[in-house]
Amino acid sequence: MRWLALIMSCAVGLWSPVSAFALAPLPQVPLTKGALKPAQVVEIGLARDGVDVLVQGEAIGEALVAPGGKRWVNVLGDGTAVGVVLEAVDARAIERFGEYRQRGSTLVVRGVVNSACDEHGGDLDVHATSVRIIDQGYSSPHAVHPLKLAFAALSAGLAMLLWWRYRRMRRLTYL
Amino acid sequence: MWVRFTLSEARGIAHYLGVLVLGMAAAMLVPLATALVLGEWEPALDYFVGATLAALVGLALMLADVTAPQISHRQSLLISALAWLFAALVGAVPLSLSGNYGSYLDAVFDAMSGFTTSGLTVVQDLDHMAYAHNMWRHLTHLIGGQGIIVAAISLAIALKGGAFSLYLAEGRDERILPNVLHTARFIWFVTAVWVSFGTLMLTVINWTSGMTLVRGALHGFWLTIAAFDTGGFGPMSQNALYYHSPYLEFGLLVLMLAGTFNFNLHADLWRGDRLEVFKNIEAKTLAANIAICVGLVAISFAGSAAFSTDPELWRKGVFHVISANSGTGHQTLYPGQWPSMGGAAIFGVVLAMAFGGMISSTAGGMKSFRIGLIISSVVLSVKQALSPTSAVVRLRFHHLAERFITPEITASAFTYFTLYAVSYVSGGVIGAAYGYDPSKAVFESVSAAANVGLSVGITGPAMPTGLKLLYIVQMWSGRLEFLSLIALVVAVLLAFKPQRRKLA
Repeated sequence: MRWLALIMSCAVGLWSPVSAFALAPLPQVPLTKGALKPAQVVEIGLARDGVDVLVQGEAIGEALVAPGGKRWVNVLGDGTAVGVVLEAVDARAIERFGEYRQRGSTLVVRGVVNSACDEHGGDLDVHATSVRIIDQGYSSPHAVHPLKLAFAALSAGLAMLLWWRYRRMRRLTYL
Repeated sequence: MWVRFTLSEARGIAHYLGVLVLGMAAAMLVPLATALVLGEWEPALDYFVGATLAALVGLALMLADVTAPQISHRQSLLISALAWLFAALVGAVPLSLSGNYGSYLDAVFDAMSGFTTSGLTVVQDLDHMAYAHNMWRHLTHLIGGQGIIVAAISLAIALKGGAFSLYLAEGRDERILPNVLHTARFIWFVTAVWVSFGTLMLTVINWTSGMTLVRGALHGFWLTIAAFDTGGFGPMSQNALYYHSPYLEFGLLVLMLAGTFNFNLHADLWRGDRLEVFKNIEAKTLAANIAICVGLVAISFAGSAAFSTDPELWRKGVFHVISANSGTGHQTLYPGQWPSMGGAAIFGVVLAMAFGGMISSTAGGMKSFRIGLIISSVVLSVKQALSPTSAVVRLRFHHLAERFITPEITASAFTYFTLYAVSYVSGGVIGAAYGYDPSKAVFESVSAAANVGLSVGITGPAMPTGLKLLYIVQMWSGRLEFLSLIALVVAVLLAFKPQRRKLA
């Protein structure tokens, strides 16, 4: 019975959702009419090469140097990001790039999707013909969860208690 | 006869497990410090909770026997198997508090994948993850890649009661230096040299690509760890594709190859014995395996409309073969792009994953040493069949020293080959039973059991719970090369078996 209880409690623990600590849903910029999400663009790129697309997503990370004085900006939406090659001047207009502390600017890019771009070593990418920034993003502060503070205090207190007990038992054993 | 563990032996196991879990608590101070330096207060609290909880579990286990007893070989097998499970269970705590995982099980999946240097991931919103959490994810590669036991031994963490048998039980057999402590420290020395070199190289590449120095250095460090320890995690959801850089991909290629090298070969190169690499059966088999797989990819690309240029062969073909063969799993393709590479290319990548890198390295898979021995034993059998019955036919091979193929060596190689093959196939069958395409299910199963981390899209937060558990077990057993885990299963079964009463 004891084993069964142990197994049951382990199973419950493993399956327990940690939604109490899940990141709070952040306000989303509505999808521009006719625009696709990056995941849909990747799907199109997998099916056909050289298709003209309108893609909307959040600029993440930073603008990276691309050949020919251009820039790479990775655009994210619904968990999938796609690399967009755009002019350096367009990249400079992006104020925020998504990371832990902030949501990046939302771009609407018109461009051509390449299944395996010969110019860029076979990457599935989008070559932008026009870029529009419809939202410049915002900082996303992360407040300390009170439940975590309680956890921290409890586990630290118990750990110190056990450390004291361990030291005492060792001392008694070797006396 | 099967012998049960006594209560005293179980207490000894608990004590050393506690020591290792306490080591995990100490390791969490690194992401804690990262969070504090970068002003990430909530993740700092996650690691404070994680570290104190790990200390709590570790001390509770150590209380089972405070005398630090000598341990036997069979005890060390269980400690080794359980150390990886406890590392994943404890290491998952701060990850589950991050808010980037759907459940504690998902966090355990990533922790097990990190410690076993697999690289499969079910993380959500990775592009907005805190630096501290990325530091911990990649640190699990570093700790697991070198070996949890090796890490503890090299830091001389109270394992004197059975350091050598624990070292062997972790699936390692390097005797680079006469003393196991010195050997463990040499492994860390080699790692430190490569990680320093790789971090510097990738930091420069990232910085010149437009990253800030701090961000470029952090990404450089993480990518270096993930490549040299053949792990495969990346700090961005696109993995290596995020950087769109041929220079970075070349740097990763060098690090992945270095990571798949046997630490004995690293030692030989360090001592100036470069000829060993050209004579060694393992190095020759690995080179042949890579050549065959690259050949298959090249043939496939030649007939492909998508990948037809030389840079594409290097950046999509050779890169993924080395990534697969070394067991790294760095990827510059979307999962859906694999079919466009062609059937022969996918077969080449699966073959590379299944065979894996060298023994006594951070790589996974069957290992090229065993493949080399099996091929040699086939050659020997053919030679014996074609020779006169009175002739004594022997076959020599070179692996650190000149040796002969013997039935014992061949049997051992075949045993491991069979265990891996059974794991690959059974994982594929179960994946197919869940309704996935059989070829994709086999690809993902091989990737998990060989600790590679390449994915055709099955692995993700929405994957069925049963498959998550299956891949956790495959990653765990593949890293330990099955023996320790089988010993653990037998020990648990024996504990439940009712004892027969002796007749008076």
